[in-house]
Amino acid sequence: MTRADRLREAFRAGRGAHWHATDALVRGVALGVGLVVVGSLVHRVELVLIGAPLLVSTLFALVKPVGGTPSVTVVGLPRTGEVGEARSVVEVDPGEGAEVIAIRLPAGTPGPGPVHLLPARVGPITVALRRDAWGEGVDLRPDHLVAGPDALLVHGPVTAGERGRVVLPPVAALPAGLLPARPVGLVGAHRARRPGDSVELRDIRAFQPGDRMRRIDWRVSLRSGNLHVREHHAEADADVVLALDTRVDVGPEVADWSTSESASGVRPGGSLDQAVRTAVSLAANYLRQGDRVSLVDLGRPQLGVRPGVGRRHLLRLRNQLVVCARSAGWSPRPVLTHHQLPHGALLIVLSPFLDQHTADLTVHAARSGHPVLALDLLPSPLVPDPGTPWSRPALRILELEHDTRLTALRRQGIPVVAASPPLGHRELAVQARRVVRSGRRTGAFR
Amino acid sequence: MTAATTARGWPGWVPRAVVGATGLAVAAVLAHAGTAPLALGLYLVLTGVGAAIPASAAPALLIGYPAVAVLFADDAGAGHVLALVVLLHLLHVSSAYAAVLPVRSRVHPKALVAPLRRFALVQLVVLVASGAVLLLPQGRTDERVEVIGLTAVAGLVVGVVLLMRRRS
Repeated sequence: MTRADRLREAFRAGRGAHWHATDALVRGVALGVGLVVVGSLVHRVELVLIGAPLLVSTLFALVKPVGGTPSVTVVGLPRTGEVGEARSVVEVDPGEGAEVIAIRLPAGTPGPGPVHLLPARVGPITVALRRDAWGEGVDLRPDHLVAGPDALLVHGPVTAGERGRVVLPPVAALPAGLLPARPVGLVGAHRARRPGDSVELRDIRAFQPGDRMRRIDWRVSLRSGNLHVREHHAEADADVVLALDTRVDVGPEVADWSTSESASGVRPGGSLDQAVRTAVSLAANYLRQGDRVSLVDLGRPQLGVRPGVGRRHLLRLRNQLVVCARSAGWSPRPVLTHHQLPHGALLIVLSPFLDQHTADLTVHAARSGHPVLALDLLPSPLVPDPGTPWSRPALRILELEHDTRLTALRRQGIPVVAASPPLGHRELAVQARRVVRSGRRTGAFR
Repeated sequence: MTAATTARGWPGWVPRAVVGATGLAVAAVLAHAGTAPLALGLYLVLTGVGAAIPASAAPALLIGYPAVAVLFADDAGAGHVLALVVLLHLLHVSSAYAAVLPVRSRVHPKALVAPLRRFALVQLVVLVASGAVLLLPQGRTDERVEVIGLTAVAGLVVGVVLLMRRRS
């Protein structure tokens, strides 16, 4: 294709991912040639002088050929990351004869950022990405437009593909003593009901065939006249079920409860945000002790995670919590089946307890013999809607209903911890330890 | 590898502000040359439109309007014309870049080095030509010289077209 063909195509074709003329080229040619010719015809040198720079600069710009297909490549951008700052590199191939590039890149703020006018031969661009909040989002969308000299011919604008990312919920260190420390060299962290090989004494009983000789308690045997053996507890892992109520996401401002906050679907500082952060912290601490942790989405049961252990399982839980938060708010009633709740598992319900269904579900689980801990995530204090005269009395009724539900839970022997921000780490630790002890007494931990 | 270059730069409204400021300067030159107030008012409106929507026909009017107005101005002199030569060229270039940039963008000064260098080169060429014009004797030009001049302009255009064809 000749240059004339390319220019003809540039004039005819619309905007998009090809080289095409701008208004500036038309203006430069029309005014430059027009003023020079008209000035010459009417013998006015002023017109010639005014038109000359337009004509000359247009000719200068057109002498330099433009062509090729500019491309922008993003390298070194992992899809999953942590809260904080990340870096990526954007490589630009501007094509032939390009002089400047207008490219959309982040500039110290979350999201795709503004358009930057840079030299076309800028080389690899190091981009700092801010990831302030966990959840799904867009890190980069390098829309670009490449321009030749004086922006007379441009390639684009090209809308690039979004480079999405998942920022995992952060893990907050809970205080020591949340659960008993794990004895080194043994399996499990918690004393089980059944006899075993731990060092904790369970019972002293009469010798039976099959008992090991080294278990014989000689002092008691001599005193009683019959052989007696010392029986110890076994140690086992605990099953922890984190039940997340994703059906509601509320913040302190009651007026905002009916509105969606952000594209990620999670209200920053709201009950769901706090629930996810608390769940991740609890899961990390339990998993560190070797316990099995599972996740139940009360709003969408199919989004749960089966029990598991280890660091990879924590990563799986954090990813799944982002998925749960994205799909939040769709179910009218919470669902918790017995398949999701292993026998004897510690159930931690994270909910703002704004409806009776969640409270009923929690009580039902406790009556089934499970140790249950209820984490109340309703923000406190709540701020009534200033635009509605009945907001204050309505809020008072809502608070009374909420208190009644929590009182009913406590009467059922279910510890309730207010985990609204700031998270009460100390109280959470005390209550969790209490639940674990009650679980031992009732034999919930095998 | 370039360091993080995306955190600095000028705001994206700067090229539009340059269009607006240049338009005001052109209006001031026209006012000094004795242009009618009504025409000046119209030009100021055009300047606002050109600064707000640089990707439109407004910049063309902003450049063509003073060129015609200076012909009918009462006190237009060589100084006014030379000022317009610089200002209208600047208006053309700044409008071209403002047209491809959103308002909420960032302009990195390094990107403007080459355009500014070319702007200075063009102005140098034109100002040398202007000086030559001023040195020429006043009076009626010979018809043969006029024909030669017009032929030279046409030849310039044809030459550029041929140049473009040959290089493609």
